[in-house]
Amino acid sequence: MDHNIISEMIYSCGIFNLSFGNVVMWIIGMILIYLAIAKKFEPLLLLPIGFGILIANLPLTDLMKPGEGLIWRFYHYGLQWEVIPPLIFLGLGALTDFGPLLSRPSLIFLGAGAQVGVYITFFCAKLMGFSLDEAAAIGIIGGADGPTTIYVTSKLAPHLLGSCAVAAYSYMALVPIIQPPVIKLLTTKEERQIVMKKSRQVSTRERIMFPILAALIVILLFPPSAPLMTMFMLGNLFRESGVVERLSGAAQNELMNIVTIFLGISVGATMDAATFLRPQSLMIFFLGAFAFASSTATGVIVAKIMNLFLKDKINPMIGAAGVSAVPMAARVVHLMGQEENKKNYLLMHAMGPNIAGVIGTIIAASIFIGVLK
Amino acid sequence: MIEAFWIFVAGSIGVFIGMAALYLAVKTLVLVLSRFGGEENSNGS
Repeated sequence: MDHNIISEMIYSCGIFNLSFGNVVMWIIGMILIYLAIAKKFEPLLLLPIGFGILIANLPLTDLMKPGEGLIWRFYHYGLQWEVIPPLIFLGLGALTDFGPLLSRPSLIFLGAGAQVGVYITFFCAKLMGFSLDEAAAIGIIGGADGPTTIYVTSKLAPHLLGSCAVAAYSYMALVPIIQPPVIKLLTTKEERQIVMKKSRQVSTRERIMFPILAALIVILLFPPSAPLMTMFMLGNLFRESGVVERLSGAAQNELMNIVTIFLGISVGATMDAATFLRPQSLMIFFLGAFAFASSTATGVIVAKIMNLFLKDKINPMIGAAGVSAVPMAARVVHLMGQEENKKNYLLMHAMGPNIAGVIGTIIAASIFIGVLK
Repeated sequence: MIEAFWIFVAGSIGVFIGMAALYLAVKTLVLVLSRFGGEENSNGS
């Protein structure tokens, strides 16, 4: 056998093309897989993302080679063509019960309050030297809504997709750690003990009409929200109409699970060493935590402002649930309420702003896209 | 930087305007259905 062929075989072996950066990324991928399995941190996303990072950092695989690679195709047709995030919203819509929001519509404003934190983070990111597009992708992390973060980032700053997505999903898992100190800092013990009035019943007609109305209003005012809002509300209409249980079930289960697989592995595979191992990734993680904290803070502050005008006071802690992170943020508020007053049952009250936060984040995202794209 | 500031201001206000429009729409819906929607009720939230 020719000597050159043997040496070519040896050097075409991945192991001789490994870089230090690849190994560091393996460790990061392993950490995400560990957190997903052992700590149950957003396992549906962090597990495929972690695995995607591992394989994206195996040399010479061409899995992310434009036009050829398998994972590149998932990424290109799923994310760059903006297919996967709207499909996830279809499933989310089918899973969402808007009852808590409809039973007390004023809670809608808490979903808006938390978005102020998104814009504060956007401004801070710009101050730290990021471009406007990059700052928007970082700011939207504060909306605590993974698919929206991925949607905005893939449109405005695709080179930050991996960092922003991992920051968003990691911090969503850390909501029980990030939110309580911020909430306690901004509320008094008396405020945290406020027991809210029982919500009214919501009719089936209201539930059916809401997704149609919400889609019309929000898309008319913010046309760039159309892909996410359309699918979100269609999914909810499937659920509430009661006549297409098969479609509702498919959107909630099979479809959602399938697109989640492609979403996770595609996002993970964008995190090759050259793209991810930069100081700006650390800054994104710092700003992501800041985004969650500031959105929590602005949600609570808006709740306190609302209390100045409301006859039936609301517990200002539920403002913190205005960051989406459904239902984690609402659970955190509920548990904090129970710590202060065992008879205080805040879960359903907090679900209102929690769901409003999803719509609020879609609006915030569409404003960024409309202004910057 | 000035552009970022105005996006910050306009974005924050814009989200509130959007949610206020949604609030008004929901209030109107509740009002209309309570007047003309009959007695039907689900188990609520």
